[in-house]
This record gives sequence, C-alpha cells and structure tokens, in this order.
Amino acid sequence: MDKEKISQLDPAAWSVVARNVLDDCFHNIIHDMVLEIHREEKVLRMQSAVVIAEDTARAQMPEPPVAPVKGAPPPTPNIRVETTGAIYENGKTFLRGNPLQTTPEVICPQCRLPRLQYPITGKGSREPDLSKEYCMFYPFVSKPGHDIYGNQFPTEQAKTKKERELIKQQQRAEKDNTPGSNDTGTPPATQSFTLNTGSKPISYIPWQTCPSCKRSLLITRFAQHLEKCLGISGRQSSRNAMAKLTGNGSVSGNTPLGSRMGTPQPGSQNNNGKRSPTKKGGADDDDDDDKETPVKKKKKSNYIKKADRERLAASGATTPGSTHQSDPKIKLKIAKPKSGDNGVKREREDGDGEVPRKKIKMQRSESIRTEKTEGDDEGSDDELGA
Amino acid sequence: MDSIGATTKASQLVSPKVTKTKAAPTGSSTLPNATFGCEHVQSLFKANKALAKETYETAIQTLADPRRIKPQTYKSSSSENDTIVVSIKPTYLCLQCPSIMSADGRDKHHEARKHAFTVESRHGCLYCQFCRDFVYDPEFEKIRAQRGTKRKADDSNGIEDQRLVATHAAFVPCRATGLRGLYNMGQTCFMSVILQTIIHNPLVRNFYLSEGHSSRDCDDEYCISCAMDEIFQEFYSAEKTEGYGAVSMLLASWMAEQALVGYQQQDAHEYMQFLFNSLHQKNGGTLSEDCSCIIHKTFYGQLQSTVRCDKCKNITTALDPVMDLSLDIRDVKKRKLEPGASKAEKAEIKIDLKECLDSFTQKEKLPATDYTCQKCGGSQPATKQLSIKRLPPVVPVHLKRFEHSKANATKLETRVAFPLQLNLHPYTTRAKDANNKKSFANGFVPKASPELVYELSAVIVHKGNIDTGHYISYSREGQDWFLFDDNKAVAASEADVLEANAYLLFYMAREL
Ligand SMILES: [Zn+2]
Ligand SMILES: [Zn+2]
Ligand SMILES: [Zn+2]
Ligand SMILES: [Zn+2]
Ligand SMILES: [Zn+2]
Repeated sequence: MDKEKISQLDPAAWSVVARNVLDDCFHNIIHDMVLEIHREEKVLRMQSAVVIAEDTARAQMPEPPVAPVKGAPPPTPNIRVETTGAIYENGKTFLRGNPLQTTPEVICPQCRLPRLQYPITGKGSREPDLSKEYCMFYPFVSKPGHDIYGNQFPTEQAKTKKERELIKQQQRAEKDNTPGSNDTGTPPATQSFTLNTGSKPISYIPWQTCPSCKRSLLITRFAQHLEKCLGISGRQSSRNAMAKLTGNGSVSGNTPLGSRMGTPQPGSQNNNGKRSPTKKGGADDDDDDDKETPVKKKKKSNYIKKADRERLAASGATTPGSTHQSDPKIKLKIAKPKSGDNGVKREREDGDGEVPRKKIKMQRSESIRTEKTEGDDEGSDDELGA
Repeated sequence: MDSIGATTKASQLVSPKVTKTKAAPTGSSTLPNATFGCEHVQSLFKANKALAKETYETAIQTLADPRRIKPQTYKSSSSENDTIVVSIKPTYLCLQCPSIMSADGRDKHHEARKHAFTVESRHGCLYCQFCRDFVYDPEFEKIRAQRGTKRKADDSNGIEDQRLVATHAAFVPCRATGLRGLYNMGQTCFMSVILQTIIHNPLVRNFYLSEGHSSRDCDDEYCISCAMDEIFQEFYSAEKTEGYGAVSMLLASWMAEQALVGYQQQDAHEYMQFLFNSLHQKNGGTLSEDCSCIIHKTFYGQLQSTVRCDKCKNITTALDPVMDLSLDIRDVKKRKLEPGASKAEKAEIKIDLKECLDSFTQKEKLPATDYTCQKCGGSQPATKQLSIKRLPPVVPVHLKRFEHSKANATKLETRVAFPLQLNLHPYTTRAKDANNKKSFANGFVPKASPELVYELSAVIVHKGNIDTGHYISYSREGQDWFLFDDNKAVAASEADVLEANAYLLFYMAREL
C-alpha cells in the first residue's frame, strides 16, 4: 500500500484495523504465556514418564540392584519394559503417546519422588495428599506476610522486650526439643508424611561466635559487637575514604587495590591476623571468658592462650613449632562450612540435648541481655531490620 | 533456560502451578530424558535425521532475522485465489517443504500434503500434527536454544547452560534453589543486596558452581572469593531455607577495605565496586585491558568519549573502562520540569531510564577553557559525546540518588521508570556514529535498526533517608521474581518490581 491509499481509508475502516491489530497482540501475549507454561509442564511430564519407565525396568531386573545412591546415574538393565507413558529398552527410553495424557503426575528427575503440584498455602494452594512422600522442592508460596516457603513473618509490633524474650524462649525450647528437625533423610515408613516447610521460622536468629572474644551473640548484633570488640574507633567518614579510594565514580575497572589489601586496620591486625573468622560453637568449653570484664588488652592475651590450647587440642601431638607455621591455613579451613561437614555441624548445634549444654545456653543469653542494655538505642531498630 | 523471543509474562506467580524454576534443562545427559520428543519425531529421525536437523536449523535461522517479515508472510488459500497475508500472529513453517501457513493452513496442509511437522514462528517450537501438540525433542531443543548458530554450541558459559553446570557438578538437594535470605548482622543490608544480585547472576554462579574458585584450593587468609564460594555452596547445595549469615564475607570485606570497617550503613554501589575489584584480584585478575577474570567477563564494558573541535572538526576519542553505567537523574529531572513548577509537581515528577540514558550519551558543549585542540592549537570550544563502545553481558545501572557535598549528603527520591526489556543499541558508539553520518549526508536511509536487547535481572532499592535507610533487592530466576529483605525471601510480581524506586538496576543480555 502506498501513502495515498492509506490516507484514503475511511475512519471506520481504521477502527477495524486498529481493533484487529489489538486483538492479534492479545492473541500473541496469550500464545506466548501458554506456550511457555506448556513447554515447562510437558518437559517435566516427559521426564516423569521416563523416570517411571526406568524405575519399572529396574524393579524387573533379575537381581535387584544395590540401593541407588542419590544422584548417581541409575544402572541400565538390558531389558525391555513398557509402561503407559514410555518404552524402556536397553538403557534408552522412548515416549509412547503424549505425556500430558499418559503421565498425570510430575516426578522429580533428581530424587524420583512425586512433586507437590500446588503451594501448601496462599495463592492457588491445595490440601496435599499426605499419604505420599514428596520431593522436597515445593511450589513457592505467594501469600502476604509469608516467605516463599510458607513461613510467617513475625509481627513487627510484637517486638516488646517481653515478647522478644518469649520468642527466644521458644527458640531455645525448639532447639532442645526437636533435634531432628533438620534431618533430611527419608522419614520412617509410616502411613502419613509430614510436610517439611521451611526448616526454621523467620523469627529464628542464629548464634554467632565472635572470632575475637569467643562470645556467642545473636547474629543480628554481630557487626556492632565486632566493631567494639576489635576496638575500632570506626566512625570516621567512610564516604570520604571511599571517594578517595575509588577515584571518580564508576570508572574503577582497572584500579589495582593491591597495596591496600595488605594493610588492614592496625587495631584489628593483632586480633585477626591469627583468628579464624567464624567458628560456631567454639566457645563451648570456655564459658568463663564470657563473664570476664571486657578489658581489651586482657581479652587479647586470654584469647591467644585459648587459641594455643585449641590448636594443640586440634592437632593432637604435633610439635608446637610446626603447628605455628601452618596455623592460619588450618584455622581458615575450619572456618569454612563445606557442604560435606555441614551435617556434623548441624548436629552439634541442634541435635545436642545434653544437660550441661542447656546451662550454657542460659548463660549465653544472659550475657546477650546485658550487652543489649549497653547499646539499646541502636539495638532496637536493627532487629527490625533497619 | 530457553527464551527465544520470550516476552515477559505478567502474573506468573498468580497461576496455581507457578514455580517451575527447577525445570530441568533439556538435552542434559545425566537426568532422565526421553530419547525423542514423540514417536513421530522418532520415525522422522529414522528416515533422515541429518536432513531433519538441517531443515529445522534453517527454519530457526529464518526466525532469528529481526525483521521477521519473511516468516510472518503466508499465502491464504481460504478463497479461490490466493492472497498474500502478513500476520503478526504466529505462523507455521513446514519442515518438509518451504510453505508458511497460518494455524488453519497448517492443518489443511497436513491433510493435502501429509507434511506433519511445522515450526511455530514466535518461539521456534516444533508442532507435531499426529500428536496435535507441540513436542520438545532434545535434539531440536538444542538447536532452538542456540538459535540456529553453530558458534554457541561450544560456548559452555552461555546463559542457557546455567542449570547444566549446576546440576552436573554434584548431587544437589531438590530444595537447594539458591533462594535464601541473608541475615542482617547490624546495618549490613548494603552488603546483602549486592550479594543477592551476585548470587543470582547466572554467569558468576556458573563460575563458582563449577569450582572456579574453590576455597579448598586457596590459601589466602580472609579471601573474599573464598567467602563468595562459601556462599554459593551454602545457597546451592545445602538443603536449608532459613537465612544465611555471611560472616566470612563481612570479615573479609573489613580486612580488605578499611573504609568498610565498623557498624555503619554503607553505600551499596560503593560496596559493589569494592566487591568487583576484590573478586577480580582474587580470581587471577590482571591489569591488562583484556583481563579474563569472571568479573571482567561479566561486567567489563568500555565508554568512548568523543570530542570534536568546533573549529577544525578534528575528532579525538578516549576509552574508559567501566563496570557500570552511572546515570545522572538530577539534571534530567530539572530539564523535564516546567520553569516555576510547584513543590508538589517537583515531588511527583517521574522520569524514565531511557531519558537518563539519552542524557548520558547526548552531545555536550565544552567551553574553550576545558578543551585544547591538538590540531589547530590553543583553547577551542568543542563538542563532547559519550557512547558505549563495549557492552558486557551484564550491565549494572547506577542511578545517582545520593549527592555528597562537603557539608552534607542528600538523597533524591525522584521516581525513575525502567523497563523489563531495554534496547541498549541506541547508546552504543556504532549507533551514534551512524546517527552522525545520517545527519551529514541527507537521504541516508538506515537499515532496520539492530537491537541489543537486555532483560532486567535484578533491582536494588534504598528505602528511607540517607542515614537510617534500609536496602532490599529483587532478583529474577527464570521468569519468576523474588524479593530479598534481610533474611526473608518473598515471592514478588513483575508489577512489584516495576513499582520499586530503584537505586541500582541490573540488565542482562538476552543473547550472548
Ligand atoms: Zn526432588
Ligand atoms: Zn509442507
Ligand atoms: Zn508426534
Ligand atoms: Zn580464595
Ligand atoms: Zn579482572
């Protein structure tokens, strides 16, 4: 069409054109949405059909295979098996029919358990069938005042001192009473399974051991405590310092910071040059430290002594000289929670229901409380998340 | 994750069967996978697999053309005489002959010619006429993900492969989705928001999850990269959903940067620059132009500043390395306001990110006092223009909300609207050059302007005033958005994200 023809179209025709274009745009938006969801769902169902066929094949193997390790590629028996959704033949699986019709359930391709199809609460939620065990990946919850795992936020105004203590008490009770709350293994083969939502409530605040003084404190107070503990006078205008360092605005790509990296705050060097940054639960055997008046110098020496003790304990019968040299590295490794030793740490943290442990906890919370009065003004709003 | 021409979907989270973020990658070898998309594709491959793949690839390449006129044009044979129709609705390209059809035409074509496979024009999905459904064959999906280009086949760092690395490295608990909050350790939310955007950046995540910097092999004390590695391990391989306390990262940051030490709120943008620098150094960063560390690979861009002497027209250029675009909003707002605007008008005015980018790359007069021409000698007035010479895969955009004068610091609360998809081509050096040429030579007809589409992937928001404010962030995983507020991870809608009064925005290239 050339320009003249376009301008000759009468206004009524234009309105038809506009309407059609708009209709087509809506058509496209819906088409795209449906196709995306369709693809995601169908791919999951395809995999589910394959998992079912593979599992059936394995069940029919002459000698039952060793219990498959999670995540390891399943063994491939050389047989032919037909299920409603697929044909398994010598390690390969071919679909039969449309998996959207043949395979109503989504099976997790990783853990091979059925997936929950609907959120457990909030928008679009449905009551789950609790006679089955489900894959731990649940549809995310969308509900005001809740996180994606369905945990409710603590109400902000409920943060009076009394209530805060109540929450803490509950946490303590929880810590002591449910040692297995984090157990990720398969639950015992009872008829009904409980749904494991988020493992910890939002109000849960973990403890963190200060790398410098070894006190246990709520993690929400960690930065503030550490600043004091390291004896940093701190409050110098960091912005001015930053401006000097980064130069002009965003052009920082190649600025080498190398020289600066080596020179940490002089005040903190003594303390931290040898410290492991995080060592949860490290204060267990040394609670007497907590009661000491926090005189900085004293703390330092105390702490070195303790580090030595620990080092010796950790390295067994090695000579002091050799441990000294490799010390920082060892410390650093300990400090890093690897996925591997996570379980161990968890157990120490939560699963330990021994009597003396409880006592320690009480003492700890007391020391926290006294600390809280020190910096009360700032303390209250940082717990609100400011 | 696929997204050929994927348009963003509203209200994904509202639908009951929402979050399929964990949809396993297609074409992966260790996860259980059907060998073929359906029985019919199986027999198609049996007949001539190479030919089928080749024709599919050709179809995908046809669809990749940005003008898209060809695949959207078909012959309508509804009436006696064929008419040519250009449609914006999806069309179907026959895999067995050159026909292009509407959905109706596709069904008729099957009856008449027995051609059962067609390629849908908007996403390149294969439609099987026997199944009467779209089928997702592993081989075809691989071609589709690569958009018909062979080059990408050996690029293992592509965004498409993000999940592959993650799932192949080791067994990952099904719940380890990387969606956890970070505990506020006392005014540390400036750090949390930057960490969250890094945690959900597919390129950096790939690097760490494929053991790019394993803390086991690193002996540095208080190594920031080790702290980052620790976070990735915690987020993507531990079956925990509660918040995480980034103690190692806080300590490593304090050790590395004196200015960060202490219990005080910091600027998230400054922390980002610090973190980028530190990660660059700890991951084999070099001082040369082409550092190949993960940070440079992901964020390194170049700005070109072009200065043209008004007298002798001599042009000088200079390149600046950048890790983000720092955009002014004060002047953009001022320019937009009518002179003598009321206070209420000033407070309500909303500017657009594109206006900020336009202003950033517009021509600017330099007074003679600021410029000395080397060619004609002496101080001359000149014209200066900034443009983007090199675009990185991920572009952080910093909106200058905080202004520090000697006496005090202030925050601009001006609303800045930003899109989910942003075409950065108009701000590139190439586009600016083409524009300048056009204005010189009259009658210059530009070709269909190319697009460099970036998709919004994260937003950082600063709430409250400059001293006692709080940072929160939004990150996208696949098509779903999540809000991170300290140790809380919350479902968010696209509308929530677009409503946010952004301080930092992260745009990621749709195609690498
Ligand atoms: Zn699973
Ligand atoms: Zn045909
Ligand atoms: Zn079929
Ligand atoms: Zn390291
Ligand atoms: Zn680098």
